[in-house]
Amino acid sequence: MFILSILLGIVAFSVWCIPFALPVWFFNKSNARWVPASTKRDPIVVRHEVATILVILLVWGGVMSLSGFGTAQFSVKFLDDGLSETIRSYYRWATVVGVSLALIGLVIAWRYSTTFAVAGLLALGLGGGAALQSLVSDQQTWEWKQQHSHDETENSERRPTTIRFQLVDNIEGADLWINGVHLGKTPYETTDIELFSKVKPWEHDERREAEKMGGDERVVYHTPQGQMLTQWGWCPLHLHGVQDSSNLYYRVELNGVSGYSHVSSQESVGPSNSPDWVRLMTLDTVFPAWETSIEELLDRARMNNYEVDAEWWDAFESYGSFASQRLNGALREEPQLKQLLMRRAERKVQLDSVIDAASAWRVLMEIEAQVSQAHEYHSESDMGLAVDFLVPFLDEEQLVNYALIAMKRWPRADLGSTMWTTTGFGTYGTAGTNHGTFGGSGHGDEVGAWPIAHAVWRLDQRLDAASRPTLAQGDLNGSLETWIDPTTDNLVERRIVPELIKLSRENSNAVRYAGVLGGSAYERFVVRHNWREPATDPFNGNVRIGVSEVYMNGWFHKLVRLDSPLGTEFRRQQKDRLLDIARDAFDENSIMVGSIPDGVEYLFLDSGNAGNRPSLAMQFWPKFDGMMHAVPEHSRQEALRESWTYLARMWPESTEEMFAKSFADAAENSDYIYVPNFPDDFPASEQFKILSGVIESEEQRVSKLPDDPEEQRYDGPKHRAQRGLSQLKERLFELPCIESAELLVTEMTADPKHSWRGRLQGFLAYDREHEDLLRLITNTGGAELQKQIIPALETHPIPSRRELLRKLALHEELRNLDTSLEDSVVEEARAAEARLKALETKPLTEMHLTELVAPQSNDDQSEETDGDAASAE
Amino acid sequence: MLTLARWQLRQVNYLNWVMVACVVIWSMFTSELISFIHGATMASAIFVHAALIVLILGSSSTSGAGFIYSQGFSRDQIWCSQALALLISAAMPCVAFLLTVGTGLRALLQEAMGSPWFPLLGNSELSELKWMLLAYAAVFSTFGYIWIRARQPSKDAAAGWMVAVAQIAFFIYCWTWMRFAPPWLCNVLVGTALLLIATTTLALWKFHQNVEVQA
Repeated sequence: MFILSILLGIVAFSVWCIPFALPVWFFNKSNARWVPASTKRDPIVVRHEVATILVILLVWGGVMSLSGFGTAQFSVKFLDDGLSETIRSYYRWATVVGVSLALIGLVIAWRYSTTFAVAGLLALGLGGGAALQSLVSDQQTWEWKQQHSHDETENSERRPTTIRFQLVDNIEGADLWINGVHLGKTPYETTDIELFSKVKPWEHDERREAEKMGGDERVVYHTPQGQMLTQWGWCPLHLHGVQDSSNLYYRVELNGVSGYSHVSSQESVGPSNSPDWVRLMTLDTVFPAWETSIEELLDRARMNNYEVDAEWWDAFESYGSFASQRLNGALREEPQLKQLLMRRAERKVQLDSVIDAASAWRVLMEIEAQVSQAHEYHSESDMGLAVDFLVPFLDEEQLVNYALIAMKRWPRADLGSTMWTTTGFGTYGTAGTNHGTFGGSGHGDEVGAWPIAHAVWRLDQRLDAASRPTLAQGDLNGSLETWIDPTTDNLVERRIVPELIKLSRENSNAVRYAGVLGGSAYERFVVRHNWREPATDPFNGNVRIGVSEVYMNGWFHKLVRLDSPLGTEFRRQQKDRLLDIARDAFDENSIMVGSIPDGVEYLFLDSGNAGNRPSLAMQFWPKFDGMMHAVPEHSRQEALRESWTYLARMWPESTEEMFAKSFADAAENSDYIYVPNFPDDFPASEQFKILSGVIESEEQRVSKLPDDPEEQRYDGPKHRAQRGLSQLKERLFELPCIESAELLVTEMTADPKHSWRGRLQGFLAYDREHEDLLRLITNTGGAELQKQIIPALETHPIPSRRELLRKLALHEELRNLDTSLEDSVVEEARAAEARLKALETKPLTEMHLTELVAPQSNDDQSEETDGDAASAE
Repeated sequence: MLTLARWQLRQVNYLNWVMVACVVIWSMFTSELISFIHGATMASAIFVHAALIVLILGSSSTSGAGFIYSQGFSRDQIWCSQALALLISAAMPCVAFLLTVGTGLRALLQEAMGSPWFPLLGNSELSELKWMLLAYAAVFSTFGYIWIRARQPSKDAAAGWMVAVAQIAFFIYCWTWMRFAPPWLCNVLVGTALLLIATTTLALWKFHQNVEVQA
């Protein structure tokens, strides 16, 4: 059998070699009549041919080696870091064989025949390449099966997975328990097999039992920011990709101090299928003492109107990722903290030296150099904020000229992994991980183009904001191009965008950036493309609308989203088609009840700007409203939420009556309905206007309803309507606007038994935005209410709130005081003021991160945690 | 030598004019972007045109070649006239391209036809001329070597063919890489291609003197 295989192999190889041998035969035969048989090869001919083959082999082999084993700087690396060691060894052996064959080929060409050398190299090279490809493909298939197979037989032969547990900032020396078993100190590395040999899975009861043994005060930790951070004393641990990983719970102690955890993040690092592949578990454990100190530092910043100095930063950054995570979390509800980010950027990039265009340019060039080295950039990072700061100082012409040069230097700058969000763009992080030397960059120096692109983008926004609004009036019956007005182009749109479009010949991503900048060149470019062809598949740049098989021609999609006279006119002309697409997208999306599919944002673009014409959203509303009516009863809540979101996006074209009708329809047809939230960026005063209208309408409706029969006293139509009405009023009071505050204070002062008197303190405890309400209560609310707002004034001590606190403490200019409570208000205000004063004068050097110290005894521990922790009860 | 070159051109004029006509029509009316690197049309057309010309002028196996060699011209004169004829053959489509693109005719026509790229691109496609010339040089030198090598009083006559196969494969490899390679690598590849063209052309010059003619 073996001999037969060898023979078959020889026959196959001979057949394979025929195409390479035929020319040899042909030319040698045809040459026979020219050249005497005894003639030797001319040495110059030999040298030329060997040199040619050598050059080809060197360059070809060099490029292949770089693409296989080169470094990122060369930007031609194709071999994925995740390839297994086996596949890498194939490539290595292929390289060795290739080099050997090349050497043999050169010797043959030199000593005997160029023809045979090249024919042999071609035959073996092509055959070997195909064989290598086949081997790699088989190996990859086998590896994939190994990774994804859950078959027990195969699993028994499975390689163990290395798991590494670490804390934020890779803090060392913390004790780690899993399911009651003390495993060791962080960073702790084990394998899944070893872990399950030590740890037995817990059922729910076993976990609860363990928590009781640890004392209930551990169960819930209220952070200084009012978050209930930890729901479990033993935090669930889910190891993705590891079998039997459910029912695992972990706990961490550092220096004997319990940490509180919420979730754990995990990532895989290192080349897969290699011994270096590790599942990295980063536990988000926090420690109350440190959290309190971080909050105190933030309070110091608040007291100082978010102005902080280097000493503050030194203290804050001593908490490492604990502080930065807290800051990022707080930004969502306290946007004023962005000032801190700007200060941090100044600290990193030395922005204080920027006084004019020249100094700003110098700093921008430094940023470009740093980013090129780091291979990482995002417009919302410190570097990005620094660029935001620099743009107003920069010389516009200089920036634009440099950007044009940068486009030539890095014509493919945004290929590869890039990300775009609604507010920024940049490259993915490539700086590697904390675990050894993994990571690396898929990007080269071209990342340096990103800060320049970011600066140009900001410049375009500045120029757009400074220019007059575009009022182009084209020919209603003529070409769409008549709606393009080149006279309104700014510097960026005039000079950068045309070059970007030219660049898009070799880098299609350039069109996306051109679209961000806009301008007449981009509009003309888009409108002249074939946007008329209907899209039925996701290819050729077509865009998926929603979640199902509804597609839009890519150029049509670009035109539809234009925020310009051309865009408005295009949407007007294509109204029927756009409504059809929206209808199909909503129909296809029906499985996700009421959710507005991605890609139909065009419906809302002209709301309020379409002149006397109803916008697309208004025209589509009857269809949308009908769909919301058709949802099953259990989905009415979601349908109402989406209806209000839709109407809010249409506002002010939508009316209070439309909101009221949606609410009434939903309330009539379901047992219980919540008042939905408005979109986050919807102004509170507008919400007040809408809710007032809805309440008025609901009151009228309720008044017309007959009384519920006795057996339906708690679930009859009238009762349900009244419940909805009271919810609407509650929501009205919660709005952070002056109208709402005035109404609430008026009602509370008029009614000593007002329900809000009981919930005011809880509502405002960690408040960041009800300044009007606090001011009104301080000035006119009466002592009982004033007493309730003191914690809110203390927990968020910005200057305006400290002023209110001082007013309460000094008891000046206050009206409507209740003398019986007067003393306690003053006393509590003064105590709060004193605590803030103490915090204000506390030396920042004492606020640096300190070692955690375990309490002496259980009693001490209880006392210590009283301030920060509370039981679940 | 001009007379000789004109005589050489007579053999390929019909091919050249067909190519010129193709270039004019294509460059005026194609709505696609003209790109040697990113499109295959131009590269394929040049390959076919150049290969046919070399086959006719350079193979030294036609009756015309035998006639010329019998008329008392020196080998240098014959070779230089061939080279001049090849050069003129390559120049004709290039000049046609220059006239249609460089003068803005293409841009005007395309803009009138509603192409999205014009007038934005203007005559920037003219930069493709350098690739056209490079492609002609690569094919002329590589294929020229096949027949010159085969007519050498030297063993291993098929070597020219095999070297040509290797070189053409390498040029195609470079052409493919140029689409996505970083600039430094593009420079390396173009530099190598130029080196191969130069050395092969030098070899052609050196070896033509030993050509054995039997037409």
